[in-house]
Amino acid sequence: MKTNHSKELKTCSVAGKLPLLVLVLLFSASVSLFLGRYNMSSGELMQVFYSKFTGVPGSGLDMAEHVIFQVRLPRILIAALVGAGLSIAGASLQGLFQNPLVSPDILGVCSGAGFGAALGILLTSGIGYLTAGFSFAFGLVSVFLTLSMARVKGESQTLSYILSGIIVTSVFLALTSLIKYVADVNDQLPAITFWLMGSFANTEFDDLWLILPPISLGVIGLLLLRWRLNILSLGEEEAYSLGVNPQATRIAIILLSTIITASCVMVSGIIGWVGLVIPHICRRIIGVNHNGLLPASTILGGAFMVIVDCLARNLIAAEIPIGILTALTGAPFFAFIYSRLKGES
Amino acid sequence: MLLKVKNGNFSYHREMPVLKNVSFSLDKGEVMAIMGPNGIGKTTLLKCLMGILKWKSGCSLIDGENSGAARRQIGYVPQAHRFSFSYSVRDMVVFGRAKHMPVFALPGRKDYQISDAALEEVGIAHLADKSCNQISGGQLQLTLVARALAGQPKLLILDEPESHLDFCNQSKILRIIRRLSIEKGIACIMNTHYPNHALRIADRILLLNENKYIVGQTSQVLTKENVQEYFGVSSTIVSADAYGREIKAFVLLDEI
Repeated sequence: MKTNHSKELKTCSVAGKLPLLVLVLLFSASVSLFLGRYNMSSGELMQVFYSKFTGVPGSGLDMAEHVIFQVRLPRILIAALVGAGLSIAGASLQGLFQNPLVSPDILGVCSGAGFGAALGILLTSGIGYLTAGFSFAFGLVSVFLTLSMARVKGESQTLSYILSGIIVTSVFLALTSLIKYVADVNDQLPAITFWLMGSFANTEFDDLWLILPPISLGVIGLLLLRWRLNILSLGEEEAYSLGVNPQATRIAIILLSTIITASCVMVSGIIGWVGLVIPHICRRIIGVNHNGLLPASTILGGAFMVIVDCLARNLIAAEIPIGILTALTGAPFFAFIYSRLKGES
Repeated sequence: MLLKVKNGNFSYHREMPVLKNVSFSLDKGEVMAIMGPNGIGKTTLLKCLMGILKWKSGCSLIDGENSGAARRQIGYVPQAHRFSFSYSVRDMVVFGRAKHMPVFALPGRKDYQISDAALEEVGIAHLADKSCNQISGGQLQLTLVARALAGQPKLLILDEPESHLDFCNQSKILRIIRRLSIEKGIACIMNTHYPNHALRIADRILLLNENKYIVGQTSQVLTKENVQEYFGVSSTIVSADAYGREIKAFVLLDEI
């Protein structure tokens, strides 16, 4: 009787916390919609929304409407999507590699995608579809290289995956440096450098439609596999002895995470820390079971990115690259949580 | 016969066979202890039975089906070790249900009921919400037994289940193994380094050494002559009368 009671209590607490996180996400998104360089009064805001939803034209606030619906809204949606994607990919790979210090770029996706983007900028001198396509393609290529190298070694053990990832990462980092070296110092080099720092500036609805399908596919796939991921997080032999063949599921999880991460890098550049920190925080909030951890990471990751992007837009007159801000906010936050709660685990 | 091993051969490197022509069988409800010096291939044998390692030749069958394919029928209890993520005891036990569930499924009410029953079975229902990394080694070993039971196995394979445990937990584990075999008809195979434990609960013994093995009834196989031959130590069997029963035990005679 007692055990039943506590079980209900537990599922209750997990079920109670998820809607709370959703509220945090919605709240930060709506606040962020009203904050920015273009100031508007709450009266104007009401008017803009009123005319948008009733279809009554000509409130004389075309500029405000444009800012809200064409500039801020897509940017916030993209930030939420990227934050959610990087966080769930990080949480999944941490589980898969049985190591809470793994981040989504462990298998070389980010360095590959970064190289692809740099190559695109070098060839086209701009950030167009070719750059995005190169970035996505090289993100996938790098992970395929990592996987095939791990397979060549025969035993597909965790360690050989990680070592192969380190090798591929360093090769692509070197190639990126090579491109920077030969790039035009006046326009290409700054473009590459800023792109690699990560930013949501200049994102439009087109970008949203570009990344929505692959990221949704990845997130839904990972969410479907979330309980099975627990078994894989015990290690290869343990999974086998529990009657589960880990091979197919492992490849699926790696591919889904890769698609997500490559899509994120494609529109926003390289944004570190989110995929590492958010899953940690969620483990504290909701527990280590991936059943709750993956949905929680998705939602909190989205909220975190929306908030950080809002800071990036508003803190100082010039926009701060978001990769810098996530590291500046994420790292101390992480250090704080880690030192505070170290004794507990 | 529930389990049949026919001429099983295994080697990690071609020149150095680990298991040579191993054959034995085990019936429902029987307990078998595998004994032998360190590094002789006891764990390898268990892994071959589970299909984690593939026999180089020969086979093992459960109910006539290849035991690797019939892994679902086997519950495996590894040596207790810490986990990267501190799942709760209940979560850990429910993981034992995974082999009966489709890949996208979440455990349902029935899975939780079976797992809670398994926790009751080994007597740690009160620990259900504790973290696996915060309980004692003995409690963790019991958790792993419960996890194996949650998979409703016909054959339970335990890798040195009572090593690293104190006296009380050793006998608790042995009692549980005995009870499961008698009450539920589960066949059990365990590696052990303790001949006295084997004497207490095993129906059959498999003694393993380089290039040879012997298998049979406990009383016939676990003799001081065989212990001398397989372990190179001289010993004798003493017996004590306690509560009207005769309990046998090995005593080492070697000079220390």
